[in-house]
Amino acid sequence: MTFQQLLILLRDLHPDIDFTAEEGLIDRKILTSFDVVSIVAELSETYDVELRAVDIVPENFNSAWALFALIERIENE
Amino acid sequence: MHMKSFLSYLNATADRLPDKPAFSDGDSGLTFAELRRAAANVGACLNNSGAAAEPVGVLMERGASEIAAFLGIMEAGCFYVPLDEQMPKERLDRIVRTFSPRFILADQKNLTAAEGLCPGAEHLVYSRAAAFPGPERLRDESPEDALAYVVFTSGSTGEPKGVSIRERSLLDYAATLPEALSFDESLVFGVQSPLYFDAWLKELLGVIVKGGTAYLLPRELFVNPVSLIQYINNHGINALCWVSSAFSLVSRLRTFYAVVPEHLKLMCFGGEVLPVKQLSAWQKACPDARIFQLYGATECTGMSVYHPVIGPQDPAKAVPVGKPFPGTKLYLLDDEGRIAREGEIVIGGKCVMAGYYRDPERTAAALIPDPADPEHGGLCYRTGDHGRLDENGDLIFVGRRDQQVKHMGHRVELGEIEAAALSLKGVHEAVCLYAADRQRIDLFYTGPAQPWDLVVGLKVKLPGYMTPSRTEQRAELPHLFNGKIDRRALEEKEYRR
Repeated sequence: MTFQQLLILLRDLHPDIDFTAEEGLIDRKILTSFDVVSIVAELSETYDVELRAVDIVPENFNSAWALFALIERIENE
Repeated sequence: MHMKSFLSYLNATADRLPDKPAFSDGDSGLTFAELRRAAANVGACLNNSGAAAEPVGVLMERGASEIAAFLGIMEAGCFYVPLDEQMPKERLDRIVRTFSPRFILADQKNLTAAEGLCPGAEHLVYSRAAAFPGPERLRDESPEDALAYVVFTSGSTGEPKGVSIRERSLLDYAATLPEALSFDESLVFGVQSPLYFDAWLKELLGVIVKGGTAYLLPRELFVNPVSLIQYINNHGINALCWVSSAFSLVSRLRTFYAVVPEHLKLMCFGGEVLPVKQLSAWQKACPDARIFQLYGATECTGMSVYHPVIGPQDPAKAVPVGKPFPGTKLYLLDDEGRIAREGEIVIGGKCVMAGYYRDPERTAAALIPDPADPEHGGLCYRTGDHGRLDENGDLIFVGRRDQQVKHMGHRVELGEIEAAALSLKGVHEAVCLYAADRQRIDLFYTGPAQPWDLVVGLKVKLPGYMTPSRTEQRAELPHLFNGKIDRRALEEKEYRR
């Protein structure tokens, strides 16, 4: 999965957010818990990226970059 | 135990268990004695300021003190109207306009916001009101027909509706729900819902009537499901009464591979359908928990119908919502208004609301004479839900009859979102569809406005749970012969069913 694809996925949820710059997606309550469920489902269904429960922590969802780093770690395992 | 006033339950429990924690937000909390003391003081302070049998707005952070404020307002013989600090300004303005309060109770943090919201009202700071010298005990009598609270729900025209609930309905709820679900003193609840709706009343009853304890779960834990379950385990939480979507959120994120609730004895879900796959994940993770499905309406003081869920469920069949609480009447009415085995779900009994606040027109449309006893049966509430009875006489929820949906446990009128979108510049037509399987609201519109304009515009008009997940501009929308937008055609086109 590319960073560009992740950005498209996120923009689909919140078109008004600049996901390349925002670093407080969870802390500033931009992403809700239901957004997180949507993202996890979409990653699994469309990109075959299986997040584990322990990965679902605010640090991994606060920015698109952090989430992308997590996805890369999982894909390289 | 028959009580004449809702607050008598708190008197009795505070006499019995004065030092037991009643409500806690993790760091701070109130014991039963402290809760009673705070409520008595707030009540005395309000009466001393001249408040009597009138609405009092509450703008406070979700916590034990907010609950003491609600009870204190009832102690004063007034009724509480919860306002949410996270609600958009425009919606708050509309709500305040509807009930035009003379008094607002706010915590220090929200005082400036409360003053801006309602400059003409008298603003009482909670910490001062709770320190006002009040009586030792709460009142044991309640005036006939006194209101307990008004909560605002989504209305299809864009104007929120104020559901007005009498204290006697709350008393009836206190006498029925804890018994039906076998609540007892050993229960430790984890409250998921916000306090500005009625969903948390279940836990309120478990605490005040039965002497249980409730933790108000921090909202941010729901984006951190492993920590959520760890929090539940660390605090000995053994009872969860959540909306179905909160349960399914935890199980869908595969949380149980990492950690399971260790102490769970009771699990109640409702508000929307819980997929059998998610239900069985919880059953496997918590084999000792008693499980209930609940069904009800805000207009009928919360939950009215319940069903014990025992053993594995057939994924091909709907899990029943069950039978009404004792004393509550349940009817299904066909299109001609006759009692049938399938039709609109109608609920009657002491639970039925007094009406929509200052809205006789919409009240008259929602309340009808008892279909089985129009002369003496009192009024019943038309839920707008469609149901049928199965072979055991259990109610099965089939769906909505209109454009209302349940999204994240909240009632959402798609019409209210459409009305808000149409009020924005450059929007000609707007229609919302709900994709229930993916739990998302999609908004389609025509006009020169950019999707970004709508996203930003709607954020200031609607609460977060009502803002669409996706906003799409279309060159045109399909129409019916009568000129209305053809929702079904749009649904087929967009979702390719």
